[in-house]
Amino acid sequence: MKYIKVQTQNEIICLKLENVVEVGHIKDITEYSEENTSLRGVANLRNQIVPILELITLLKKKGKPYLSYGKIVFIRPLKHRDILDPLIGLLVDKVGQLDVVEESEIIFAPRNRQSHPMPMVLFKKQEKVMSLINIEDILVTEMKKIERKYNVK
Amino acid sequence: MGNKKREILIGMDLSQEEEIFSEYLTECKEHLEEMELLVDKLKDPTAVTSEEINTVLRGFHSIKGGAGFLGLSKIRDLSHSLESLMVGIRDGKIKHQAEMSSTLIKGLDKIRKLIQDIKNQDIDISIEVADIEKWFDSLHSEETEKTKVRVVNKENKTVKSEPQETKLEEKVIKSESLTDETIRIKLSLVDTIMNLVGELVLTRNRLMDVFSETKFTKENLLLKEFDFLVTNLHHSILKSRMQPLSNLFRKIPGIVREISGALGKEVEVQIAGEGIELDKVVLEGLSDPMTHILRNTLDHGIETAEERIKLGKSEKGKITISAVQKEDMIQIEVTDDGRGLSVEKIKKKIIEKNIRSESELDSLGENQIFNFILLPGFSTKDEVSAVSGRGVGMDVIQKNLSNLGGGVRITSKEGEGTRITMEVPLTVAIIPALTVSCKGARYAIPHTAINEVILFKEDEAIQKIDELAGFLVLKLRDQLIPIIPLVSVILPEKSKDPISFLRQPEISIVIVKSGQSEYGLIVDEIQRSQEVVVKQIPNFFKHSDYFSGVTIFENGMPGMILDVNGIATRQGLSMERISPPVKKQDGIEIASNKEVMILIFKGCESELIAVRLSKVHRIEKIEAKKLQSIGKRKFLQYKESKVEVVFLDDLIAISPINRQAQSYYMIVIKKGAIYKGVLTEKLEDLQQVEADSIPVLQGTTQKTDQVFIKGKMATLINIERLLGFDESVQGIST
Repeated sequence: MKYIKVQTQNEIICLKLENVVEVGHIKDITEYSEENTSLRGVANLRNQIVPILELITLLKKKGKPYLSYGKIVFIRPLKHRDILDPLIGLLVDKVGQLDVVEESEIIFAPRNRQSHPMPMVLFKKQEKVMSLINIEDILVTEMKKIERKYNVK
Repeated sequence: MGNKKREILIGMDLSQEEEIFSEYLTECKEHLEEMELLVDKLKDPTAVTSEEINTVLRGFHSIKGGAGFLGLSKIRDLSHSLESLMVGIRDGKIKHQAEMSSTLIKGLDKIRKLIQDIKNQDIDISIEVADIEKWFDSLHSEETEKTKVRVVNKENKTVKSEPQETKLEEKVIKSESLTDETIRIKLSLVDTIMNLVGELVLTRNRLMDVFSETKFTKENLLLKEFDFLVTNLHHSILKSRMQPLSNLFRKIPGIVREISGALGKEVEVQIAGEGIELDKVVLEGLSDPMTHILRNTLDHGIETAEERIKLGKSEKGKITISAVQKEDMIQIEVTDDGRGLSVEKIKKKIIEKNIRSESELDSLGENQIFNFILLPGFSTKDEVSAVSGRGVGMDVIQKNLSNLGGGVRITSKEGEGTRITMEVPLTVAIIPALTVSCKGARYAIPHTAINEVILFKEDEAIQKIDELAGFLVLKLRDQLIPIIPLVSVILPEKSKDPISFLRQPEISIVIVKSGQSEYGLIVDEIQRSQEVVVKQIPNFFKHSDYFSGVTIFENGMPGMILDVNGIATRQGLSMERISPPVKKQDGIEIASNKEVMILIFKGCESELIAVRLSKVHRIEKIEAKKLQSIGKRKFLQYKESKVEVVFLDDLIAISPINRQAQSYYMIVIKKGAIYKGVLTEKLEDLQQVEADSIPVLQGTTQKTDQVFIKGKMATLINIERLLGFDESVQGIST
């Protein structure tokens, strides 16, 4: 499976390459934030309005001002029909290189999502343990959280 | 012709056949909707025109033609019978009678049923056919006896001969040749073209921005031409999306018939303004609110025939729906002559549901009270019926209209009826908007939502802006308007200091209208007015209520289009919300631990008079010449009634007020339906003070007291007592 490494604050996170569309600059964001959510604004990607979310907040950690980020990773949800936005931007500090993980390298893959708020698999690469997140599941969780916030029935 | 088509159909694959079926069904629905309105009109033979009769006839003819082609025999036979009846009416062979409308309506309803359940052709049409036949049986003229019309019954037997088929065919062919000027086009294609034009407008805006500095260059002149063409293209494509209101209104008689039938009520509907055209998106957005209004009007508003007779009203209820265009907005009014809204019942429900306290409600006008019925889950009806009463629906009106950039107003008189006014913009695809900036980002406010823009310097701001019950208020032309910094809406974490804007050299406030009230948005900078292309808001933001859409500005940056109603609702921005609550104990107002707002005005040069703002209904500036004297008493025409006014120095011992002034401020006090006014020359200030520092005079016999407010001595007046509103209270002291 091909993945791309991103750094957000001190975390190195891997995203499946199949979800990644392109990497953009932070300066093109119009900021808008909702308290207690990861929403940070919107960006214009070739005349398409894309919601921008903060990856570190999605990972249930404390966020920071959007201008201190370096890049936006634009991702395309492929599997979840609940995510209606065709593109979503994630705020990250750095975008690293592309790599491949083999099935045999995976050391942990939780099956029960209930017990793991962050759907991910762990694997070893050059003696380092890496986290490959299932960004689509995480986005669905976030969406439901936002809906709950506004009591959407 | 028919056989040729049949051969083609046989050669077609399944998807093509499905497409033809689908097109036929769409066409049928269009005809049925069009005929629905006209058939209702047929109730009055004197009011219906020959063109309207022809339209109904053509509708049945088209439905019959398609049904025959597709082998839908029941639809074909029934529509043929109905068509024949219309031919008889048109040619004067059958006397047009009001009761025929009922036959036609039943026929239409049956065709609709057959279309809805297209696979089930076992539905019986014999009752409807027999009902049609009875009109042929009652032919009384000799001529009509000769010219018999063929009606096909369910056994497909020819009952009567077919009249003037050739003539009809000729007429239909003639009318069809006229419709060659129009073509059927898929809505998705129109939407695609609209989106492309939107992109073109964006590109034009960018180009205009790039060349804005240059004048009279070759590029600039070319750009002007391009701008002209894009504007024309934009207006043309907008026009192609415009649809007449009749597309919505024609469904109304059917809805009313269905609901009133279920409720056992008789209702007459009058419709006007159906020719006004508006964007299909707006039209679609109006559909649900209209249905909910009708359901509620029929269920709660219109009384039963027995009740109406007892009340001296006509047996039949009446609903009038009218539309007018006011510049870029359409106003649709739904008026009924039913029982109207009961202010007291609504108030009771508001208190029961703990939405507002009794004292808070006392400061609200009737129309503001009516607005509560638009809240989700609000219903004054104790029983739930199949039609309404669950409190679900009226909130849909508010929400849908707000999404379209519109609003709703309710006026009502108990026993006489209710008027619900919906206001929506003509189009929502490309709209004129004011762009403003806030913390480096740009936002768009639709022109239709803006009342005025106010700019003033920092020193003026200190005098004009105050804080009241945790809200900022702007004193504008003797009115208090709640204001809010846009930054605290958009970026709450960046607005820890809500009054930081007061440190700016210039303060910009956009006064926007939300329902029947208004409020101000404090922005960093007012930029310019421009046309913005409305794009759909990303799904992740769609619940926020703050935005009605997104746009892309000429520099390529995205910008949010503000939903002023959504902001007002979520931030609780309305004057009634910011009036400080009044606590009562044994009917006597007591001081709360909170702060209270005190209005200070000048009696004469240096005497300061103070009154609790919660006691003031309104402050109006009036011209002295409008005062009328009757003996020693003075009156003023106010809100369609005569209000007695008094100069303050007539009530308390203060220096005389100048009686020669051109104008005065009238402090209006309201108790129930009675207004009284106190006249003074100058308003001084609005001060928020600790409640404990101000004596409570209301509910006591004491008329005045001396107080220190912000270091100044002032006379606090018990205005209700002074004006004789509080005479019943005796012997109670603070």
